[in-house]
Amino acid sequence: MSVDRRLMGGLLMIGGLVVALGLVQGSGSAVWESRAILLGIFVILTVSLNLISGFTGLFSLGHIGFMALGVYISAVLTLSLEKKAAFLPNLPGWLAGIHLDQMVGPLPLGWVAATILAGLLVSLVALAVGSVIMRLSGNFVAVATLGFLVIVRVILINADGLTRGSKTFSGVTPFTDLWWTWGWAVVAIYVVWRIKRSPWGRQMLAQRADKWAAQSVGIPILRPRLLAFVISAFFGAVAGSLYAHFIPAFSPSVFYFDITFEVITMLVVGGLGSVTGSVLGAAVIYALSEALREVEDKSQLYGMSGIVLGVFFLAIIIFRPDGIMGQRELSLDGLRARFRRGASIGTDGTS
Amino acid sequence: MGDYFLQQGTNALSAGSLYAMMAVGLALIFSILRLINFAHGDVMMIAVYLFVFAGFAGIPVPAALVIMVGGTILIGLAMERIAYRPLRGGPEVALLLTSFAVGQILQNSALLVSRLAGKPVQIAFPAPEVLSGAVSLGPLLVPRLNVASFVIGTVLLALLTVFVTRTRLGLSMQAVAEDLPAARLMGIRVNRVVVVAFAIASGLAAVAGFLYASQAGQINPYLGFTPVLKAFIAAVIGGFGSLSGAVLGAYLLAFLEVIPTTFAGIADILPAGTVSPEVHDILEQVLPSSLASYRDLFVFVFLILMLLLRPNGILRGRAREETP
Amino acid sequence: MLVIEGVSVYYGSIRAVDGASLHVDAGETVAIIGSNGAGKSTLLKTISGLMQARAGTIRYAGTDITRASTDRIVAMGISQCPEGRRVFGRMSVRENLVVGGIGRPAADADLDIERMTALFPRLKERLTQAAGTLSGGEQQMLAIARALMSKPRLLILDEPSLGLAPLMVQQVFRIIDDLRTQGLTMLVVEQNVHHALDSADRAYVMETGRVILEGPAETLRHDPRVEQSYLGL
Repeated sequence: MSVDRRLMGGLLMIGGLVVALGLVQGSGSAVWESRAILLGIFVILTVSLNLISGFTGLFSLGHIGFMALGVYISAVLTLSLEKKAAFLPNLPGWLAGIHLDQMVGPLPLGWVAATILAGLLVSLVALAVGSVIMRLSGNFVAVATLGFLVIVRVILINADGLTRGSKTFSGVTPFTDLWWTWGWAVVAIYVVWRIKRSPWGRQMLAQRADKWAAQSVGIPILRPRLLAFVISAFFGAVAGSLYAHFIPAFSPSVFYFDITFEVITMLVVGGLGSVTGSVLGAAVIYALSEALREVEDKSQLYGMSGIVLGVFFLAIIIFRPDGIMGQRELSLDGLRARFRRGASIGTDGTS
Repeated sequence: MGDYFLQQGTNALSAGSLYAMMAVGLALIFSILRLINFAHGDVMMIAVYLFVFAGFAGIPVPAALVIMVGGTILIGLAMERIAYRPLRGGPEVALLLTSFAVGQILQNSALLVSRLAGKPVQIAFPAPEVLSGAVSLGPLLVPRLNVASFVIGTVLLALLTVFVTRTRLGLSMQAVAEDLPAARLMGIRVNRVVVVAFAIASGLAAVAGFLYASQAGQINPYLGFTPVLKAFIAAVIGGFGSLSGAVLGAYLLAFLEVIPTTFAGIADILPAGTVSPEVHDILEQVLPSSLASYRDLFVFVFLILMLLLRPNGILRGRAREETP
Repeated sequence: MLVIEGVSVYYGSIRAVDGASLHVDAGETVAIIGSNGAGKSTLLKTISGLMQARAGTIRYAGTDITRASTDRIVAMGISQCPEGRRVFGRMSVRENLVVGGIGRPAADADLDIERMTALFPRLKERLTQAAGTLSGGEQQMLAIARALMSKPRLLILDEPSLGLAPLMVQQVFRIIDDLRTQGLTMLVVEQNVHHALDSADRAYVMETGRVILEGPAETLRHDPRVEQSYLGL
């Protein structure tokens, strides 16, 4: 597909997104707006997780740990001086004076700066953690990253001078809205998309796809993975900042196994290695879990949603382990080809 | 003071036996399937729930015990057949993720059943009378439960050892664990070996769960997390896949856990005047008794270090080769 | 007894065996020779069910075993001594033999082990030793004995001389000759062309997954193309 076509396709999608967001906002429904925001946050989480787990096949179970760090770092940075004094009386002096909640006109630039700062700090953590963990192999990387998730939680709970420990953290200014969320989502999608199309990205995917061929050619493994890990952590933290400033009350327990499993399910359902898949997967699973939660609330059958999601995951990984999209992406040409061929679908969809 | 250490020692032996029963199950499954079964802790949890709900249904204790062990084995076998067998031969990580999904399903099932039965999330565990109280062993007063854990654990593990080393099926398991393709060439039915491994692992988990719950006094759907974590670490210490290593690692871990609490308590139990007040203060500061809250962190850091430095276990157990 | 027709085997997208056809008749010893990467071992693995052919058929004693499971194939009488010996190093020699005879009734196990130690006296001394501590040659003996424990009607040997000192190689082939004299049907893959053709009735030459030559061992011994293929020319 030529560059122009791709550009057109991309612009079309962004246009469509803008329209959709406009509709949601125009509807005035707070419920739908909040759902759209959460969906956006999940999209960022899934797409960034895809970068490390879907592309390189190195499964990271600690992604939400990066989110959690992003949550708390950004929240502490933007918390107003009064709230800091009230909720976090034990902050070290230099931190107590910071409050990145400045607005420049209608733009919460302080928060944007806090988000980016949180992202960068978390990236550094990822760099350190990644260099250590990357030496492990498949199965054990997963366990080590799980360890990271647990370690982050323990640290957050114990550093109660900074985080209020296991007590609810509240008072964060709700800067997050529809546009900022999806703005960041588009950035994340674009970055991961570009990486996928780069020679480096192709290399990683090839490694994952055909173990035999890649092994015999001897593709260097360490550096690209580390970079992918760091970038995915950055966006994980961004998602965290968005979350913190949307749901202004949270505690470390929120960022633990349940949400980890939910994002993994989104990833697998969408297809490891497919950016489009991650968006679709996030949408499908988010919708499913919301619906299930409603049923659960009405019927009081607590636990039912967890069972259904678990069974759903099993079904996917056993019967359709490639997920909805496999490694493919949605493309203008692919769509056009489908229309032309009509009912007889045998298209490969590769672009 | 010697008594204090002995006392801690018996605690460690008892805890070690529980960890060993769980760790051996994990190691067994891993050695044969290359699967890190994170749902193993939830299998233990389900066993306990089976016992408790059998009790609610008015079933007498002996029968409830049978239901507990038998039911858990059945669930373990179902788990293998439905969730793991279809993925055999596939990427290792898929199996790991699936074990999490299975765990989720088990946890939420326990939650749901509790709900439907009108019970709260946290339920009291009716430990049998015979296990309460303590016996005096020499200068020590040891809880009956600790003795039971140690004795039962040792007996079961001894039986397992006999099974693995003396029976043809046991030898088949060893063969499969060491070299799967070669074992297949011998005509060994791998499915049968896997099924037996799961049955054994689940049975052991059920027994361990019963003893664990008796100690904790209360159960909830998430109680399996810490045990499986400990079991995993024990197995890694011993060289993942090695059964004897898992047992060794389990007792080692139990003793290692006892040390921080021992030392944290040292400052308190040192007779007055043994150390100067300054040293006493330092000890107090350096070893906060709230070390416990950092416990999970230490445990995982230790685990990661082990994986990095001694992936084949402390005794340098051999790792299984990759074969096409 | 064994008939292979048009079998193709793949590793992912790489084709290791390309439309290979061969047959082994009862009582024969057939050799497959060829340089590294010719697909010989892959073919053997496919016969024993460790790998699946993507095309072609494998028939044994009239039955189609192309899709049969390994344990069924062993039960039907095909036993393989794998490449690199693959003895169970952590288990004793005796235990290795027991595992070899796992498909046979337990009561016969002791008798079978007696037979094996008679055939392989070196093993008798080392029954309780861990198999991993045996020398290369001894391990090869053990691997062959282990494969014989199931009383196979067809014995497959994958590179029995691999990594062995010349003296041991001679011993190994002496055993193969003994088995041949006793009438055991065998299929041997070997890099050592000289020994392979000496001990076989017929032979096939494989190259890059294909069978390129076949014929009586005597004839092939003098065929210049065999040398070419072996040297990879």
